[in-house]
Amino acid sequence: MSHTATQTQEAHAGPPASAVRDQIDQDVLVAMKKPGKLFWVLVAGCFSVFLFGQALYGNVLAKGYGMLGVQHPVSWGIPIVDFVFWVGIAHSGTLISAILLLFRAKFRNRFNRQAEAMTVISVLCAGMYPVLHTGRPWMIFFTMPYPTERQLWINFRSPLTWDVFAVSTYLTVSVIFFFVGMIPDLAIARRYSTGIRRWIYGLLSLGWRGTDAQWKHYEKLCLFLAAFATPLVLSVHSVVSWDFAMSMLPGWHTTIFAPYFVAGAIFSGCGMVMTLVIPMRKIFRLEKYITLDHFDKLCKLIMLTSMIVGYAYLIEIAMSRYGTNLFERALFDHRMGGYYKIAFWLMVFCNCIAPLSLWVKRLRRSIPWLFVLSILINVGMWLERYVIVVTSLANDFDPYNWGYYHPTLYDVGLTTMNFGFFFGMFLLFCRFLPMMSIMEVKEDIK
Amino acid sequence: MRIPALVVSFLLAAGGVALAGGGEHSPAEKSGGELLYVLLFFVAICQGLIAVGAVATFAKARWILPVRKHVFSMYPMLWLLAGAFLVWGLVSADAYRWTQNQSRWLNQDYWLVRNFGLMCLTAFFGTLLAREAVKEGPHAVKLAVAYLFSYVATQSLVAFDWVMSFEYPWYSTLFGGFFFMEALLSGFATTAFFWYSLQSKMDPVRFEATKGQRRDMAAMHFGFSIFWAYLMFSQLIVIWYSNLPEDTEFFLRRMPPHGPQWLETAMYSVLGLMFVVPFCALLSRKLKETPIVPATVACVTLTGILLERIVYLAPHLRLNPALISVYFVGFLLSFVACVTYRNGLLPAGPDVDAAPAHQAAH
Amino acid sequence: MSKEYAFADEPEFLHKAKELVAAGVNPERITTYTPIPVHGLEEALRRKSSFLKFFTLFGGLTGCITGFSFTIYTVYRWAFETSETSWPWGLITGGKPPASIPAYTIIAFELTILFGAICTLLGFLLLARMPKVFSLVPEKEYGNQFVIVVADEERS
Repeated sequence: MSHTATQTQEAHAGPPASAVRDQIDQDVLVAMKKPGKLFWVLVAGCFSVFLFGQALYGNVLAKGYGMLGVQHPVSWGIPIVDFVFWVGIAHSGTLISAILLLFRAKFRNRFNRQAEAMTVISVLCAGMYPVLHTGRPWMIFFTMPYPTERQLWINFRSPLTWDVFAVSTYLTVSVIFFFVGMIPDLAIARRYSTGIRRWIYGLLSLGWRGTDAQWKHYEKLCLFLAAFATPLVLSVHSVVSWDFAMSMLPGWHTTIFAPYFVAGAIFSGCGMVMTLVIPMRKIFRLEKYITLDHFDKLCKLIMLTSMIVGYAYLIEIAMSRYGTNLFERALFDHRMGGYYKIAFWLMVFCNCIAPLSLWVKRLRRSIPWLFVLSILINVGMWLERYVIVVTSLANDFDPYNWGYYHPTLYDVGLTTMNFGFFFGMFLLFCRFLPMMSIMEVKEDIK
Repeated sequence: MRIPALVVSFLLAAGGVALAGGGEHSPAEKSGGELLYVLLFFVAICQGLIAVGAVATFAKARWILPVRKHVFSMYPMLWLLAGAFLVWGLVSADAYRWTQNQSRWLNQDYWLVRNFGLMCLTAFFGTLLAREAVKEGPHAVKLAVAYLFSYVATQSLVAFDWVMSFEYPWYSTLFGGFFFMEALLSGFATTAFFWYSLQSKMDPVRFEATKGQRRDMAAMHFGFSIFWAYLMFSQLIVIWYSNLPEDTEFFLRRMPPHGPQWLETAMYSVLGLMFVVPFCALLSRKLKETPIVPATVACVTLTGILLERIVYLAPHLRLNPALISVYFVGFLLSFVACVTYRNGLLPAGPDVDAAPAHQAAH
Repeated sequence: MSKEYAFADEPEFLHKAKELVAAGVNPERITTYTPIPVHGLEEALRRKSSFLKFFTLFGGLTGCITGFSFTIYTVYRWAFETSETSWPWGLITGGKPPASIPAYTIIAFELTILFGAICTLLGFLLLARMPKVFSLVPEKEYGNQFVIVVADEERS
């Protein structure tokens, strides 16, 4: 049988398998060579945006929290919108690497390293916001489980405490999953580098050799971590959604929030994966590894989650008119026709209408359209969190208590700050760490 | 002989459940919900089975192949269920309190037309899909998507219109999603019976080669049980935490002092049957591969669903166990007939039993 | 004096491994170095399956038990010191019962995953004998080749 296999191989006249693997190593590790000036300019640009945002926040700390637009009644404004946005983006990375591993969807291995990096960086971005939005970030240790002087522990019944546990667990498990996935690739990077860098990659790869014993345990490790990460995807964003659902506010107090937020998170994360991978693929010339077929499959995931989000919008609006709850009915009237109606309808357009274009096969395989759509998805999902958080607080039960949210420069600064951090860190990731899963691509391309 | 033994034990459990919900123990005043009760069960299983087939067709999955014909042979049941619903809707819809005080949405004619219409639409797409998917024809994926859309809409309305409207004005936005996911779970669970029956019919070497596929389907059952528990918990935590009277009345009606003790026990049992047992039993790889285990767990899951339907209906309807048994056996016989005569109902397709040996090992 | 067999591709490598074991070479003496995991190698070299799942189970159970016991303990802790009766009445917040199981389930769930993941990682490091502190950078790298190394008979 091997004789006929070799005959077929010769008939196709392709390069021998080991040469293909060497080529994959070279192609993916090309980003780890000395970068040009443009790279450092971009990184500097991103981190300056981050530092500028930090400086703006410093001003807020010095002059008072009122510098932000966050006032009564909208006391949870853009900082919390950003928190939910970044945590949401993180979830898609875990879905692509962990859940699709369990479902054996092969197309994931062209995206999973980038997605995992995106997850870790987004959780770091998200984690900044609860700290910043307290206005007294030096007191953030209050959220940690410890007994106070009066032997009183934190309130474990509070959704905010559940958040602390959920997001910390998520950060820890994502970092573990990210790191573990990279071990064989770091060994490859070790092989191709010299001097101090070789030693550093050696340290990071923990001396990986690729023996059969190591592979045996490694495969089980990846499987078990994926099995743990899967319920994390569901639970962490559900816990974040329960920050809202545990309240009594119309528009927030609804049972569909948990799966709705999770589907929305995956949707926004897939959009961000596309925003990152499309330029990366172009710049590092990875077209033959990340093909249009892979994007096609990612688009199907986007379509599915977009439809779940659309279903949730429909059900929420329908239920607001179904029962006898006048406050719920009034709130949705405000969402659709009130002060924030532009945000609402733009959100519906970006999240439900624009992804309908993906039913057309040609558009699913058109890179420029996919890039534009991914930006629309990011915008739409940010707006969704804005609409959810702000409209329910602005128009609650008592009309005397209504008030509208006017973001200031400082709110905008806090938002753009983390975009700078995110893209800057992602660029550094591309430079210093293997940016695609080399080992899995080798398994795939035989 | 093992399949009848399993079925009998399941029927006994179901009988016990029916007795629990019926007769003098029911707190309700109205009667006439027996057909609805049985419909709620079979609509989940039959539509859920075809939904499982649709998902497998869409994903071009290999794990369903040996039982594909069993799964798709359900399509006549979809028509039967639509017809039975129409009968129930015309005769007994006054069981709902809102029929005394109708509104634009909860209006008897509109209610009947939209539910019957959607069930017929689902049956229509289900029929086309079943015939196309078994042949592995060119339109199978499109029909799978069309079926799934109509399935989601139908099951959502089963939840909102058939069950939730008893509780008016109580609502839960997740109820529709909960029902269509539960139906999908029941679909995965029921396939375990098909695998179990194949064990005696298939030649042992070929059956052994299906080990990976059986493990995958048991894994889906496992995963969806966890997902079911997650959706149930999502609804519970929101209602429990805020403790608003307009929400908690759903649970208070089913607990002492406003409701009977057995109903509260039933609620906890549903959690045990639908989550705890499948989680513990299907965690181990070896147990997933032994055909009797997923089949028994499927019995447990389906009994859990039966009990859950009682929990929904008991405060509102008196359920006569004898009548439930009559309807149940009737539908069950139709179900068995569909599966048994699947070769007559479905066109011949590519030979799926010849699954190559190396594909099973993953 | 160990023997090395290097191959460019998987099928020949696996074939040779099976051949060596069939020829009577003790599988304990065989070590392989591959760039990707090879399916079927574990059976060919008659290795025992990985014990990692026990670490995972242990971690998960510990997390679950810790989650519930820690939260319930903290709620009754305050009462133990201050209550005069023998029955601790527990700290109530938001009108919830002291042992609020639905709320604590979430904490227990997160800790199950956290402890499970960390235990699994530590178990992996233990079982795979990593990090190899004294040889982080190996002297000989095989790259993309599939290599079988058969150790000497004298070495245990």
